[in-house]
Amino acid sequence: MTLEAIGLFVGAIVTLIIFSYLMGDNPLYRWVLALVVGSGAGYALAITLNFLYHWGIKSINGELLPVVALPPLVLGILLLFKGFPKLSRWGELPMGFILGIGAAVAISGAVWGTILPQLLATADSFVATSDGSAFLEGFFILIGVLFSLLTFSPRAFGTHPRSSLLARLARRLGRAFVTIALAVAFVGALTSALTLFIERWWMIVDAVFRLSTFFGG
Amino acid sequence: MIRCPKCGEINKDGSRFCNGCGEPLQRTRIRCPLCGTMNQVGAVFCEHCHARLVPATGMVPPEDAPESESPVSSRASYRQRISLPTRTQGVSDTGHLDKQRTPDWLRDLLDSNEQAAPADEGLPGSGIDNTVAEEPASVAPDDLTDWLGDATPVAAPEPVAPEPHVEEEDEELPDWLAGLQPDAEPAESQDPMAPDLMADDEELPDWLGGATPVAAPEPVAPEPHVEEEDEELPDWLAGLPPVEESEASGLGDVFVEVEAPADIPAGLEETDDVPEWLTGIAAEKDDKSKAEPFAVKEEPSGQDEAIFKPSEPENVEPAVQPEEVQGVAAPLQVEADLLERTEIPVWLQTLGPTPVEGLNRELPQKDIPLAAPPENTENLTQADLPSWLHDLKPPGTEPLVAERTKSLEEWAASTSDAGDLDRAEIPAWVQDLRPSGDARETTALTFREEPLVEMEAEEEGLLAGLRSVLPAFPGVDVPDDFVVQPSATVPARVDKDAKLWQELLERPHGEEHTVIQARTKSGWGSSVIRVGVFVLLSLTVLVAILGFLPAGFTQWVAQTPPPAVQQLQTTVASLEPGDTVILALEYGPAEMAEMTHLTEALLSQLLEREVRVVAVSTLPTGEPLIQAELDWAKTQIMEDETRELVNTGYLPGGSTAVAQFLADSQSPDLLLVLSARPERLQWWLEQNALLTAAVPMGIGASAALGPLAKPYFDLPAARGGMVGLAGAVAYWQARDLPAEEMALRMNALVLTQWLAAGLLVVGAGYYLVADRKGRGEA
Repeated sequence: MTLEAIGLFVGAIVTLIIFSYLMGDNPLYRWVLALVVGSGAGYALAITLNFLYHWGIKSINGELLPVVALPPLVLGILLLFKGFPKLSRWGELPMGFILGIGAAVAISGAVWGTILPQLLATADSFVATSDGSAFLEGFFILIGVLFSLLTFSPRAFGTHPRSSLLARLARRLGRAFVTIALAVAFVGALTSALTLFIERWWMIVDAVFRLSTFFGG
Repeated sequence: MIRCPKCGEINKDGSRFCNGCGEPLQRTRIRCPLCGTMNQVGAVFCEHCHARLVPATGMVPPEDAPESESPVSSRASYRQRISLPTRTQGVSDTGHLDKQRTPDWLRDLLDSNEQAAPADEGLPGSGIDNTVAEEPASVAPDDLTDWLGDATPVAAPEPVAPEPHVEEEDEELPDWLAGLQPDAEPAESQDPMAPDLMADDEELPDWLGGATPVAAPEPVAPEPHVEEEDEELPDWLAGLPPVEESEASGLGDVFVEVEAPADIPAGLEETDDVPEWLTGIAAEKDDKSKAEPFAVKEEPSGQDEAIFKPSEPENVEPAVQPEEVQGVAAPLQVEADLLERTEIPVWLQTLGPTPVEGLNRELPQKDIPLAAPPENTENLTQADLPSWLHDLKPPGTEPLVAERTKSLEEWAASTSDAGDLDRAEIPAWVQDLRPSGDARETTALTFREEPLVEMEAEEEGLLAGLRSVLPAFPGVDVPDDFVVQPSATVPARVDKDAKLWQELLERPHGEEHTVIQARTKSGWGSSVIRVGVFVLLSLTVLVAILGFLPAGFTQWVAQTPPPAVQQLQTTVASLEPGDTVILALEYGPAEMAEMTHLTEALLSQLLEREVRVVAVSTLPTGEPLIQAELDWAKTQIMEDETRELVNTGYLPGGSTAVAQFLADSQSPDLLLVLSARPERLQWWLEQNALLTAAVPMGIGASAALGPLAKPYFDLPAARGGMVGLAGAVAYWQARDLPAEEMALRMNALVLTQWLAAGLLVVGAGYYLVADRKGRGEA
């Protein structure tokens, strides 16, 4: 039996233990849950340390110039002070550097990579050259966005919930769009979950076939 | 700052009366018990010293108070826990006092005493009858002595215009005092303003006015014929008996050793009943320089000295005591100041030094015959006055002359009238002001004297470690008849939350509360449902993946791949050997089972195109997943083929690292992002859009990420994409390659989706009906 087959069997057993949660909480389920979460966190830590190790080796061997290696090293050391309340002020410099650079990159990327392209794509639906389906799609997008925003902006039609019939209709229409969007997201999540469910059973069936083959079935 | 509601004057914080109009101000602050700083209502800590304004521990709810507690006390205990603005009270129906113009402390006393005892019943426990006098005698204000005129309030704001020939009522001055008044008005010229000032009785109580002559700045001329009101001189003050009566009623067997005067007046020598205060009058007849009635052996000390300051020459021989008095007083030697102290009201005694026990009015009385009045009224001098009034006389006042005194018969009659004087003449509000012990028990101050509750020690603030001290009282005087009237009904849920908050706030600090969270045990019904759903789904999957479905079942699956999938397949197919493709795998082990189908579909075609694949991931767990995928790719490569598969591994730094990675890349020909995490997909899409020359990119997303990823398929740099297992199946179909295993999985997915949808509908219908049944609507 190969190592892959052993892993396959262990995985199948662990999957069945996870399924046992349908009968209720039990120690086996909790043990497997702790095993999955702990192994994942430990593996991520090992990867990070491995990265730092290789980065340090490169620095020592001179593969990285001191100008390139020293700033991250100093900032990284200062960042460690955040773990000590009395010295945490020394960690504000790298934190500010990280957050500032991250915010600048994220905001510029969101504006030029998401907001403007989406607006332009929606606007293209209303140009004269677009076909009927594109226009309908753009119209629904526009209406959906507007009424969804109005749903979360009650002052647009007054503060009173029964201010006017138009306000009630606008809010209900916005809620309908929000509900549809959430339903679509739920369908996508359900599809992913069912896909994983199918893959788990596929793995179990595969393990059973291999096991039967191993025992000469 | 406090704005006067009447005149709009701006007053300082803590002001009780308006500086402009004297209107009582409503106080809406809480006075700090430690430093006195006025704080906002609702403040928990003092803004100046951080003392706690609300007791943190040991708050006794109103229901804990004993049931026998009076309403005033119970309301007082409740009042300790609220801070509310004072509500202006209406005009009293008694007619004696306008409560709106009354200071808060006075109003509080009034209200409390009115509740404790009706005003017509007199002072509680004092034994004074407050019925109205039937036959008031008329006394002209001019009859007042000059020093009594000084004793009137001097703080009257507006003098009353003189009304000539207005006859005043007798109750303005007790008869026994009226008998001592002179007939003429020689002293009026020295104090012309005194009657005028006495007219305004509301500014200062008369019993307080009697104490003012000492501080009177200068005598003013009286204005005769001014109508005086009943309250100008309280009758309870008139109820004080003269010296002899006080001795007879309250002194008991306490006597003072006094020295008899050397010369006994002729008119008093044969009279054994002459009181000692009359002996001084006799002494004045012979020698006014020796008119001091008593020669006190020991000097009074402290406050007694200030109050009972003798005003007569000191080198006067003491008067001869009556035989009755001498016979009883012989065995006792008591301090002279104690004697004088018994001559004044008890409440004034409380202002002086602590009296010796047993020397007050509680001592048993002894029958002492009242001294006979002097026969020769012409010899009556100011020494006729009781010593306590004598001491109140302002310095420099002219002594009374014999012409002013009345006859002995009138004096006796006035004395008898004084005994019958109805105390009901005293206004109720003045009675309330009398600081007798009984009155204190019934005033609103009772709540300040209620026994301290054994509290737990304060744990924070300046009072840390102290207990049962400095209870925080609200600085707002809430009227006793104040009732909290909620403006709107509070929902039960809000009330429940408020009680919970109150309970949490009153909970002592540091007390450990073990939260026992009962484990929710699901019943058999829910377990059966869950297991049934699981079994149903599992059977469906097994039926599908084991190939038990009919052969034509997959015919309904779309044979034509979606446009985005076809575009992506075309883009990959257009790559030339040697091109560089960046493959970003942004999913973890949990999503690997789904995403691996997309990765394998793309990798198989990339290997076919003989391109250089550089795999990278921003997830720490991405590196082994990349390696697993590349290992699978290597199994697809023939032994004589060489493909360059680079595992860059973990890319730390988030979006910044992605931007840097794309900037450092040497013009890759294609960027393929396979992600199950939305934020990481956006990192690659957005940072690629920021490049001056955006890299053509294909997108592969999980089914859960599909709604978010599909709009990006229309980006200028996008070259199509695929979503979920269905996208992978479509990609294989676009390549016209058989995918039997993928078809089995797709059948299982379609079946389970339909089953899940059916179960959701059934479940929704079931719970809808069950919910209506629970409400009794079905």
